[in-house]
Amino acid sequence: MSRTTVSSGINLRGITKSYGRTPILHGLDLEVAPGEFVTMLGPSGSGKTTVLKIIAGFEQPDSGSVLLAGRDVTSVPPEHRNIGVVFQNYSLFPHMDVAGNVDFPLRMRNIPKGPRRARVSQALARVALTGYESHKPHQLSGGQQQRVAIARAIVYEPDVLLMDEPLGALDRRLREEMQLEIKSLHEQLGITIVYVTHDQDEALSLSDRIVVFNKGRIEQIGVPRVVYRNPETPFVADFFGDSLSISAVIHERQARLEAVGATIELPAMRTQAGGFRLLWRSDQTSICNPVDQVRQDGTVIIVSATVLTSAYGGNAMRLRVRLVTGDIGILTVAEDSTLAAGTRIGVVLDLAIATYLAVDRPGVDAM
Amino acid sequence: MAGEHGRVLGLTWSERWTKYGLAALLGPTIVSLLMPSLVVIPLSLSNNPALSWPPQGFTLQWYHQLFGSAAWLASLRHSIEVALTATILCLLLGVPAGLAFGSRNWRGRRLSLAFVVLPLVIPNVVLAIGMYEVYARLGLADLWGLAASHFVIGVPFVVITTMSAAKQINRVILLAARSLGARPVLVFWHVTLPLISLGVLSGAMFAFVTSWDEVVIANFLTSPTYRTVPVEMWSQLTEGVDPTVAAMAATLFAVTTSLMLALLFLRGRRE
Repeated sequence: MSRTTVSSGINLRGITKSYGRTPILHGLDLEVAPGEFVTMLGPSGSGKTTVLKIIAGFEQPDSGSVLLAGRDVTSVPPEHRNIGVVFQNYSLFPHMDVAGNVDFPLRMRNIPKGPRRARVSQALARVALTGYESHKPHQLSGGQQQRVAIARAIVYEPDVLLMDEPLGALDRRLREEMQLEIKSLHEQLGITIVYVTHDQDEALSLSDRIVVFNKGRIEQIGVPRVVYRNPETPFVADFFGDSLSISAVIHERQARLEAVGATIELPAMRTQAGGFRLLWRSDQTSICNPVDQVRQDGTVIIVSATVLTSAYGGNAMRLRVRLVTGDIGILTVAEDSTLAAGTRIGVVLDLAIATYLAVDRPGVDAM
Repeated sequence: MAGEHGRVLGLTWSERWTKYGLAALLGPTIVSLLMPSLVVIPLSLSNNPALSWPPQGFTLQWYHQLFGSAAWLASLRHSIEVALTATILCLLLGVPAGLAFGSRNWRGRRLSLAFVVLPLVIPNVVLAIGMYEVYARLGLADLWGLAASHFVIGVPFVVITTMSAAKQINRVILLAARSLGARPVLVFWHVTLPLISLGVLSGAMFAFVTSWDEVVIANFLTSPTYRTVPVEMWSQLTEGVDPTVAAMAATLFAVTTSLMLALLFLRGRRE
C-alpha cells in the first residue's frame, strides 16, 4: 500500500467547451502541483463542475488539452486515467455491500483476492468504517455513504482525487466534521485533490489554493488568505461573504467621495486613477459614536452610517448599514450589542488595510 | 415505512372510511378474479364424466388420463418448447431495446416505443390473420412460426419492464464505475445488468405466460400434428367434453401461479 512516489500534477491548457451554442469555458489554463489541494469555487453554472468532468474524462473539451502527470490524456477514456472521483451523493452501487463497493476498483484491476481483501479493510479503516463490510448502502447514513465513496476512490491509489461537492447533501454539523476528515486524509496520503464546491467557507478551510470561477472564466487564483483578504475583482470580493465598501474616485493620493462632496487623503500614492471601491471585510471594521459625515484621522476614517437591519448570529451580531456615502454594506459587532434599526453610528475604517478594486464606471451610483 | 407513517400521524375519519371502503371493494374483486380459475379444480376432481357443476365424489382418474395421454403430453412439450423459444427471443431483442428506450432520449424514441408496444393493443385475431399469410410464405410453421408470433406479442413486456428498470438507474453510478476502472462492457456486466435483472426477469415471466396461454394465433399457425396445450384444450372442448380438460386447466393454473409467486418472492427478498 505504501507507495513512495509523490502524487501527480494536473495541467489544463486552453480548454474550451460549449453545450450546443452555450459557451461554458473560454480557453481555461490551470496548473495543479503534485500533492496540492486545489478547490474550484464558484456559483452554479460557472463552469467549475465542467472542468472536473473534463479532468475525469466524462466530458471532452472542444479544444485544449488535459495532462495528468505530464501525460496527455485528453482522448483517454476515464477508466484508463487512474483517477478517483467522489460525487455529491448516491454514487455507491446499490446491489453491492460496502466491501463489494470498495473492492470493485481492485477487481477491475485484476488484483488477486488476498491483497484485495487487505486493501479493502485498510481503506475502510481509514474512513473509520471497519465493521460495516457487509452493510448495504441503503442501510448507511448520508455521511457514512460518502465515507464509503471516499474509501472506494482511494483504495487503488489513484494519481489524483476529484471531489464534486462531496459534502453538499449533508447537514452543516456533519459537513464541518467531514471537512476535517478530508483535510487529514489529504495530509496523510499526500494525494493531489481537486475539489469543487460553491461553499466559500469549505473552500477557505480545506484548500492550499482556491480557484474562483465566474461565467466560465477564472476570476482569481490564490491561497485562501489572499483570496479572502485581497480580492482582485468585485466578484471575488462579494462572493466571499460579508464586506463593506465605499465608492470613490481616486487621483494620486486623493480619494473623492462624490456623494458627500468630501475628499480624503490616502496613505500611499495610487498609480491608477479612476473609479474604485475601497473594501473591508466585515470583521475589519469597528463602530463608534456618530460623526458628521466623514472625518479623517491619519489612515483611519470615520464615516457616518445608519443601521438598516440587525441580525443575531450567535458569535456576533451582523449589521446591515447604509453609509452617508450611499453605500450599503455589512459589518459585524459584538454579540451583546443592542443597536436597533434606525440607530445612527460611526463606522471606523482603516485605509491602510483596505482593498482597492477598480470599477468600470467612475463615481458613485446616482441614488 | 409508509404504513408506520400513517399510523404515527393518525388517520382522519374520512381517510379511515376511504380505507374501509376500499377494503370492502377489494374482497369481491379478488373473488371475481379468482373464482373462474378456481372452479376448474373441483371439476377436475369430480367423478362425473360430463364436466358439469356441482362436482360429485372425488377421483384422480382425469389426472391419470391426462398424464397417460400421448396427445396431451405432446401438447405440453410443444407448449414448453414454444414458450421457451419465444421468451429467449424476447430477451435477446427486448433487453437491448428496453435499455435503449430507458437510458436516454433520442430522436424518434416515442414513436419507436409506440411501434414496439403496438401488438399489446391489436386484437390477437387480427395479428393471427396477418401472420398466417406472411409466415406461410416464409415457411414458418409449428415451432418457429409460433415462437416468432409469440415473440411479437411477448416482447413489449420485456421492453417495458427493462425500460422502467433502466430508468431507475442513476447515471452517476455508471460514471463512477467508469472512473473506478471499468470499461463500458464491464460496467454493463457488473452494474447495469444486476440492477435491471428483476425487471428483465418479470418481463421474461410475462412473455412466457403470454405464450403459454395464447390460443388464437396458435390456432392459426399450428398443424394437427403440432398442437400446444391451449389448442389441444380448445379442440377437446369442441369435440366432446370430459374433465381431463379441467385437469389440464388446473395444472396450468398451478404452474402459472407458482411462477408468479416465485417472482413476488424474489422481489420481496431483493427489497
